[in-house]
Amino acid sequence: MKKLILLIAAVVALMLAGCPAASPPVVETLEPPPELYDKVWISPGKVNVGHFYAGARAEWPVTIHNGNDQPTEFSVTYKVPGSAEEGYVIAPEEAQDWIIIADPTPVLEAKETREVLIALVMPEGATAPAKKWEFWVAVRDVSQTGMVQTELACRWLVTMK
Amino acid sequence: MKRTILAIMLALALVAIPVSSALAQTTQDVTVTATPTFISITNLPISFDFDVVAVSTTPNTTTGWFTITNDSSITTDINIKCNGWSGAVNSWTYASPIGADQGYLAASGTFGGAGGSTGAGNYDKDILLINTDYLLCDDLAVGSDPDWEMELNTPSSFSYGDEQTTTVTLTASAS
Repeated sequence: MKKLILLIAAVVALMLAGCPAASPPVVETLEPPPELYDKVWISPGKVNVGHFYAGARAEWPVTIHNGNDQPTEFSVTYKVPGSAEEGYVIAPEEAQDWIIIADPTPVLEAKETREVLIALVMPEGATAPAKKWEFWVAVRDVSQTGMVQTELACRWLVTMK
Repeated sequence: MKRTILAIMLALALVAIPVSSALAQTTQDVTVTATPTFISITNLPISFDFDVVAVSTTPNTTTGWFTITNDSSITTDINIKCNGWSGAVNSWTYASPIGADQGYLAASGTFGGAGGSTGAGNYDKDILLINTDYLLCDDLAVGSDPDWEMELNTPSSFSYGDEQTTTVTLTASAS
């Protein structure tokens, strides 16, 4: 019986050691400069996805900071890029079906910083727009009024396997 | 002993649950990387009122009416777009060139870079094609705060007098 227990323990140890995907992605962070405390900002500016293929999944959070003095709602949306990195093709509108935004309308408290997970999930059998393609994730403070408003975009650069 | 085995099996199940959740994360052979950088811009003032306009004219905000404060930590691009005209009852058509009940906005600014505006007061960047971005500032350096302006190209004739409004959006992204 002791052998059986040892065997089960060994199996558990092997499972833990043999499942690197169990670890969440390590997101490299950098402390924002103090002058950004009262500003709305997002991070990162670019996400690079490599060795991607139909049927695969890639995740990375966009970090949003609400520099306003009151709770603010943001919209997080897929955006067709205004321009693309050299060598990359602008993803079509249809590619938004492959993007999952964990919380498309987060409400952040004043001065709160929050991560919103973005997942690129390309169905098996889907055809990529090109070997290298690009889409954006736009973040907008929806409390803005006035004729001129701003939005901040995180670029996703995808290279297929 | 059976209890011990059951306890181990339960522990095994508890370990397996988070493992299976984690398997929904990035596929193991796919790489995802990002450098921690910050994108942040603000624009002031937030509005301009063109007031009452005449047909076939080009009233403008005056050069440098708006200022974009660029607090991004990396070189950025700033694109511009608008969502077309909206009137209380009747709306102009948003298109270039001008026509009957048809007009559009144009913009220009400083720090246009290689692909952006050619310079202040030139009004060389038509804000066109609703929800399509046009590059206003190309490769805007960290700490550069561009001034910019807009010009209204009014219709060649008016069929109605509804006040027209639009929302212009500036989009900042890493270059």
